[in-house]
Amino acid sequence: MVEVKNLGKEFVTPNGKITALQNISFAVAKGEVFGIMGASGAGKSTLVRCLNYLERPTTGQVRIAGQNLAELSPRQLALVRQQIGMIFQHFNLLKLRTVAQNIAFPLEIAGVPKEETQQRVDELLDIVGLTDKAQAYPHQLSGGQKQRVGIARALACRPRLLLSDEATSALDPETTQSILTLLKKINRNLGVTIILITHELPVIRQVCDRVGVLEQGRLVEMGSVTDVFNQPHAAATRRLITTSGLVPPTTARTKSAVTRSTLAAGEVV
Amino acid sequence: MSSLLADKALQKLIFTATGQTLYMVGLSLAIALAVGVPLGVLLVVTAPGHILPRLKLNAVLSSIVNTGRSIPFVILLFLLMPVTKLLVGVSIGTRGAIFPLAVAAIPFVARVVESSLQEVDPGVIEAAQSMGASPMQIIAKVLLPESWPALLLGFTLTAINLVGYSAMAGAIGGGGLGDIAIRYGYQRFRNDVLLETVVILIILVQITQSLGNCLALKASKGQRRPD
Repeated sequence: MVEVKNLGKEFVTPNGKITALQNISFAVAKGEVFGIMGASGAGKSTLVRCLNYLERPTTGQVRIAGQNLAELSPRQLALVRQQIGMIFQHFNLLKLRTVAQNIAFPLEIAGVPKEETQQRVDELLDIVGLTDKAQAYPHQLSGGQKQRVGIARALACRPRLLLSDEATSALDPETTQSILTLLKKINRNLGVTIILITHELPVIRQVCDRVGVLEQGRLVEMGSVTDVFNQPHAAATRRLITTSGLVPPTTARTKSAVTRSTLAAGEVV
Repeated sequence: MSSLLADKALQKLIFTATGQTLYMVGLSLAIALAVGVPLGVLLVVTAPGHILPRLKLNAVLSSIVNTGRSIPFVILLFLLMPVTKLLVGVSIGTRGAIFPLAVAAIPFVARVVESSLQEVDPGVIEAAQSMGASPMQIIAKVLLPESWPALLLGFTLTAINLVGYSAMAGAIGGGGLGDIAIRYGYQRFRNDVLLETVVILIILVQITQSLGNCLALKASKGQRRPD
């Protein structure tokens, strides 16, 4: 679904060049939930923005469903972007549009006819459980509800890939749980591939199949969530796990038991 | 008796002058919006880091706008006379005043639009880009609608400024309330006329501001300001 090869990104600033990402390579299979974790400033946000070319990589390539994004015209890139949903830490909703109008927004951009849009919006409101809030404005919603609108909007054009940029980082633990459950449901029921970046390790543990660890613009470790959390190799991974209060379990357990038991620990933290 | 008749004539003159003021302000506002809004949008989107960065164009537009804003209106009135004559056919009178009024308001409108559009959350613009929106779609569906309440207040401000500027149009025989106030009220010592024109101007400004506030409030959809 997604292939990233030798991706690098440099920013030119008045104080010289800053290397944000260096030599990043990974692949995400269809239907997978892939997490990217790292401390603040590790380059997570830049990386996720390179995946839909909101940031143009300086070197390397990004392939989505086989298409090299670098070779696309602006028009073609727009069409690919319509097939990639994205959700954000601060939701980024249009504040003067109702919930229903916000969800209809990407369909409007894609030029979907009105009746079809109406029908699709109703379906999406149902999927995210906000049917009764269709006519509300974003300022009348809670954080969790706003993110549900964000998710519905991201799903509007039936994307095969969903990018999540710290989608739960502005939410309280309980709301985070409900959003993660929703994302998991979307992954299972709709078969949407999800790439999510976060600094919250419990989020990775709970919903991701595989995880990559980003430190100072480099991918220092990658593997299944169980392996990475139980036997972290990179110093950066160990640091992240220790500082987040998640201690790797000492006794061997089955995969599901490990996931569940440490999840509970993460929740308390 | 003769003074009463004179007053009747004067009332008619004030009535006509009110009409002239409204005509000058209305038409020059319309022209200023038609030119100033696209100019303001260009100022925003061509800025570094925005959706259509064109640094040279941005610098040129910005300096044109600044130049326009630094010329006092009374001077602009006379400076533009040959151009007005060319465009409108006359360089004096109410019709002759509309063009310089519009020219004076264009850079103001451009800056009002610029500052309003700059308030749009960059995250929302990024979200639209992530959906594959083109720059035109972002302008039409994100930037302008999201800053609509602020724009309405800015346009109200422009209209009120134009009422003030229009008072100077008397300098080129433009007529209007300002002209009456100076020629009849001040120069002929008719304090009552002076007072009346001022009262009418106050009422015009009040109505304009209330209307603008009301529309902006309605457009903000219950959103608290500032966000």
